[in-house]
Amino acid sequence: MRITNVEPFVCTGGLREFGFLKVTTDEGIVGWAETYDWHTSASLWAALRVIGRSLVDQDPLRIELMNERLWYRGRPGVPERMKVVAALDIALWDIKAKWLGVPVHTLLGGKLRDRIPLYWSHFATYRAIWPDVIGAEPTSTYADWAAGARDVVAQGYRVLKTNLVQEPAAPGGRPRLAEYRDGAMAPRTIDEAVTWIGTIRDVVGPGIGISLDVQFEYKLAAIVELARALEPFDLYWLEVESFDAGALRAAADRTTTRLCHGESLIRREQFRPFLQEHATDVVMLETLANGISEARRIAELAEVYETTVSPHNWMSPLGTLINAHLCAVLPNAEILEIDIDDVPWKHDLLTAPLEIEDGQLLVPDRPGWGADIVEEVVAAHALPASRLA
Amino acid sequence: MTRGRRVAAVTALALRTPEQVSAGDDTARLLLQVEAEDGQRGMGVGPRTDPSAWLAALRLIETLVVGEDATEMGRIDERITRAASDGLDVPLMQAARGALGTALHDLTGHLLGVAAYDLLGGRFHESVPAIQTLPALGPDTDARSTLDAAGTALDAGFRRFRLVIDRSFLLVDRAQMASAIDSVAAVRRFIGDGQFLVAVRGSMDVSAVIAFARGLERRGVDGLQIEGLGRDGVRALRRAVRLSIAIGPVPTLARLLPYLETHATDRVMIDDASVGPAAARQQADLAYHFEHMVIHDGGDVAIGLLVALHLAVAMPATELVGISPAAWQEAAEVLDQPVRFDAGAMRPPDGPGLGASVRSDRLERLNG
Repeated sequence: MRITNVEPFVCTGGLREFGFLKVTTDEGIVGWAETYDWHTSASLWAALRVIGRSLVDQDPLRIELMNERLWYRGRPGVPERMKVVAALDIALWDIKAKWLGVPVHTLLGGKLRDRIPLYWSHFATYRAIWPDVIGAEPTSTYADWAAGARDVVAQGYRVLKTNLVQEPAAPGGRPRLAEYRDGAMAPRTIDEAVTWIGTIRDVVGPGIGISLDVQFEYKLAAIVELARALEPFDLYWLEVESFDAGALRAAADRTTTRLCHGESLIRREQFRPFLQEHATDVVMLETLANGISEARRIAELAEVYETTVSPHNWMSPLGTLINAHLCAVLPNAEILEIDIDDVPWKHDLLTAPLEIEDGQLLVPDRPGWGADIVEEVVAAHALPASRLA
Repeated sequence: MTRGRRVAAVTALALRTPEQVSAGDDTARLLLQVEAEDGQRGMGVGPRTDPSAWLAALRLIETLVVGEDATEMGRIDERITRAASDGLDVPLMQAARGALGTALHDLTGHLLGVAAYDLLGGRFHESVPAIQTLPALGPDTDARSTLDAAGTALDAGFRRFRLVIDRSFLLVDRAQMASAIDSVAAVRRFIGDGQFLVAVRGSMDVSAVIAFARGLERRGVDGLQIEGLGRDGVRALRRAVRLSIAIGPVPTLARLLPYLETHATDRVMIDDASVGPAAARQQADLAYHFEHMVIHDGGDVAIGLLVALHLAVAMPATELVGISPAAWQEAAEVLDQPVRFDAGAMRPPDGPGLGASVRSDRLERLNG
């Protein structure tokens, strides 16, 4: 079997862009991957076209060889290159599994679990800030937003994750996210955060996990201030981003709030300092930027340092399937993110639907990832010309 | 689950040479065989232990594995890890897990129609340079047997050698250590200028290791493989000599990590047959991440050699595959497919699973 074509696709995805990669073989087997970039998918699309040509006529079963050669043949260490390698890696796993007639998880050592616990991500964020994107009615109070948590719990989710959404500053205004101050904490943000999380906690009670994601918004002092302020609510985790393992460890030492970190990191080299410092309680890894091969290794490295993992999963349902296979085989996979509020047509992208029961994703046993991309749906939501390279 | 993939039986087997059978020698190579419902089989290597103990371990494993999907190797391994093993010692159960892992990779390869290396990431290397392990030198062994083995290996085309030194050779006094160093030097002169490593087997005092290593440095030895030194001992050794230092075999990832983090070592030796393919892959990945190269070794067993070869060709971290004269001879005698060796490099047989099986006429079933 030989690779005959490598073709990327991009389309709008509401608040981000979706990118996919289709790798075709001379035996008619097609491997699908999802790529990872929020708003510059066109550049990744171009890189995949150029680098993908070097894979034509190669053996798709030699996944490890492809990974090593592509990473070191160019300038290794550049994250964008890793995204290219990751997408190709993911597509080749799909091909290999389909060729053998098995799900990808069989090739990764077989399932440890048949169901993956999910957490409802961006809870209330889209409804508050971008209701038109997801087709929701605009709402503007903490009470309105928190009321939706009853639906989350009713559907069986045991954890939800939200952001620092804030009520309008004045009557008639629009809800917003917390003011960004280049790493510092704005004066009223702590009070608003306490009010927001407290409102959710009042609705869901003590048994439901509440996570808060603040990404790169804050540096050390502000992380500590926020984490301490939210200690009474016993967060499931506070999700932060940092490239400084020492700083994150310092923050972890000053709060009892559980920390989650890592979605911006590439390869084990970037994760290791954080693991060695035991700077985070949960590693969030971006499978689509690392590839299945490297993501598994990152998770295994985390396990050696006695840390659980939770993949970042903010892209299309194909990304969810890819992460499902990974979580199915990892002993230290804790929980998987999913966006239930999203563009209404998202699920039309797959040839077979996701199966979610009681807040858990059923791991598919169909060959490959378990579903392919419907190219017509991608074409129906093309990027505008201004977003193309 | 596809019909036929469920495990139907786990069997303890013994492999005896014809000479052992005719002499009534009970010493045997212990093996584990897993059979699926569709009749396909996989095999793994047991430890050197009493056959009744092996049988007891496999009886426990059988209760946990029969009826499970053979391709769900991670789930099976987790079941065994969590199971109580009352009355069975930890090393024995670890060995049983490793043997089962090899057998399941062999079986899964057969069930899916692919080579075991395809379950480990695919073929990375076409072939792997082989390093021949020479018989151990000790105070009571005849160095001529070591030189004879080296001569045979040179004639067969091997150019890289690893000499095992029993720790007892180094523990008594300086005179005995000097004798050990002279013996090593004699081997070095005999084999010529190919890569030459010395492996010290067993735990020992770091000062003795350092003294020995300094002696080896002056005799043209390329590297030292250490099994029984703690992390601080390895650090001290690193400060004392310029030799390449390989660590291993180490039974678990958690125990390997501290050595890697020191970067006092630069190679890792993995006993693939003992830890099993999944754990060996993880060790190799971890080693490579810490910029160590790996020597895959299957011990002195033909099945062990096969699993080491599959791991070796699959892993980017591979520098060498270790082979002992016993494994080489056993492979030639009992395997139904040849291991290929050409220009100092080896590759596994083509074919699904491990690519070769032990001839059925050489196997006996162990019964309690």
